[in-house]
Amino acid sequence: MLGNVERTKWILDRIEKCKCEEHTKEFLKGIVLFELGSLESGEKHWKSAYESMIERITEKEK
Amino acid sequence: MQIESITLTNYRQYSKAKLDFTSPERTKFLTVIVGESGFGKTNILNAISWCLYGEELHLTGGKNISPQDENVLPIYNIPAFVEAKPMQVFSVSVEIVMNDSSGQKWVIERTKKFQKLKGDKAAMFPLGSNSPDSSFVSLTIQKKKGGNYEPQDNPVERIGSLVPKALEQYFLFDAEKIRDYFTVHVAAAIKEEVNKLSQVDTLSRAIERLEKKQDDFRRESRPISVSTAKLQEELQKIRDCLAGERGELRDFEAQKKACYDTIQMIETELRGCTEENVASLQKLKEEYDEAIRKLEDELESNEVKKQKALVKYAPIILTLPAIKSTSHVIARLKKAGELPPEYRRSFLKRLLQEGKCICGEDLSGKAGSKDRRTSVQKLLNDTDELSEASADISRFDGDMDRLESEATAFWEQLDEHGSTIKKIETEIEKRRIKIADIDGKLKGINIEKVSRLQERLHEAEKAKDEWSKRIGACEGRISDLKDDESDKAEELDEELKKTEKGLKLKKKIDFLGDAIETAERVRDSITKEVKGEVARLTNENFFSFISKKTAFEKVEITDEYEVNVVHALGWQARQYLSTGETQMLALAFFAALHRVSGLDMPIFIDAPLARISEAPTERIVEAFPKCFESKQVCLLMLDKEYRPVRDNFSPILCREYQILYSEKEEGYGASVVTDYA
Repeated sequence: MLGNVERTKWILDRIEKCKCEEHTKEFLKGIVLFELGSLESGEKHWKSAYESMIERITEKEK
Repeated sequence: MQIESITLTNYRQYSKAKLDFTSPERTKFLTVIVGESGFGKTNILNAISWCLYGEELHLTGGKNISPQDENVLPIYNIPAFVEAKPMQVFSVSVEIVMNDSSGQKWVIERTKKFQKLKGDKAAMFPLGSNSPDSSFVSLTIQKKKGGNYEPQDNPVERIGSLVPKALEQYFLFDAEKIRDYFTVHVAAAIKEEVNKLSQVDTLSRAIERLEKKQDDFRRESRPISVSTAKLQEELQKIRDCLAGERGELRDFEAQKKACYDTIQMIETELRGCTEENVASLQKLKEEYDEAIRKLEDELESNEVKKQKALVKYAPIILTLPAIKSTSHVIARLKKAGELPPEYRRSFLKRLLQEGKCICGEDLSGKAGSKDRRTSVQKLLNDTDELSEASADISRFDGDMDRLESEATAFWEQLDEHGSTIKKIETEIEKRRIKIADIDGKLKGINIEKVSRLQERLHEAEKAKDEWSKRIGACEGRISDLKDDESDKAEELDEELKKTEKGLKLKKKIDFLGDAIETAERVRDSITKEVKGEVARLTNENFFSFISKKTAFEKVEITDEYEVNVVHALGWQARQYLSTGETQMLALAFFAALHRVSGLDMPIFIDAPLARISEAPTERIVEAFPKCFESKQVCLLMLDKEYRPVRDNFSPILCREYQILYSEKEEGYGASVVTDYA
């Protein structure tokens, strides 16, 4: 039986094992952790959080 | 989640009872509560559901019982009510102490107050608070912080996140309602919760948001050039259509689901009241009725024939003994030489007329000759009778043989009629027995209701097919629109490449596209893996329980978490499992779901082996530790169910309780919980 922590590790591990670009993995892990940690955050909050993560990763890619 | 204890105060049969579930060892995870029928085992499930959700979800009458109905047995303990003084206020409460998976301790308590009124009645206290969702029912949830408990806000929401109500019947498992475990509603709730617990819904939410963000970037392309603005506008139009179609699809699917639920409900109802096909039974009954009518006509015709024969032969039959007797007398008289008579009538008449015998003796009747004349006169009379009888008999004598043979034929005919009548009566009786048998099967079935249900079933199936057609058409339109959307998005992306700002946007859009695709792959693989594991364990458990291992090929779990059993020859067999097999399937699915999904809740199973025969019971008990390993399990059983398997449970047994019922002199009683003896 998986507890919350184990389930979070499990999902991150799945993303890690996925065949895709490293920055996509990094981004998705960030998104998942954000979603798990901010279930009660509002519409505006998620948009800006997503945007900053997108900016950070796409800028880094340059 | 582990339940540490449950305390019942003035709740139904229990004046005061505390059940401790803490276990000193992880391997000892089983608590057994033994009690006879009516002592209050199921009310422990009711107490838990009442405390957590404010509803007693395991009452025999189900949701049809209104706790507000004053004719319904009240929730409070009767001895507590009887012993209370007039106007005294008393409380009913259930307290559950539990630990969540992080070790956090919670205390949940629901309390309802009553006031004893005059005239053997009680009302909720304060008066006037008798409404179903009365705020006068208090629900508190406290969180242990340090050595103290702190009251928490929003107890309903907190309880909902700790032990979701949708899954109530998956941790309070009621064997009496096993068929409910396979309904669409429960399957949908299970799917939702499994998705939540396996983080699939987190990924779904992230994907949805990534798609929204991707749209935002495309919208940002609008001011870049006239072409991008035009393309963006066209893309938006396609998306609006797509959103409209998707909304319509959701509506159609909801309608189809409603039809499906109706079908399931009607099928369950029909199965509950007609084990066999009512229509064919009724037809058979009509055929028997018709056969009886024909046989009764035949019977009547044979009775008439019998009566006619009786009328015809009655004189012969009635007089034959007399004739026979007379014949014997004549034969005797003949033998004795008395017939035919020795004296001729004319000779004797002449002697009397002349008043003188041929020997010269006086026969005139005068003095001295009176006796002689009387003797001759008597002789003449006797001669008359004998002569007539002799003449009749000599005439009748010839018919005697014929009459005797006719009488014999009559008896033969009578025997024949009698035997035919008896045969017909037996046939009628046979059919009447069959009709009584059918009546027995149809007893309690309201034929009109069955007919109405069948009509509704037919309508629901027709409507379901109609919605399926609409869904198909809608899905086709959505597929076309998605192709259009993809083409238009590609066109827009190509256009974006033409400017630097556009290129920057395109990069973000592409990046999000990759992220969405990856997240979808992860989500699909998790969903598939979880479902596959539930199916694998359900199969393993089910086949370790059942006797007819070769009768079934496998258990299947659909994407919608509906459970199907596949027969060895490939047919769907779940609807045709016996009650015991259905219970074993439910137990198998139930155990698998708990192990795989991570449902973090204790399991209470009422009457786990009640409908299962001896051999599977042994197998279930044997497989029990493996199926429910590391879960907190509480079984509610009858003594006769538990005693034979008690030793088998001992390696995993943590605690044993026994519910005893003590009756008081005043005619009411209460249940007490003691250690099992």
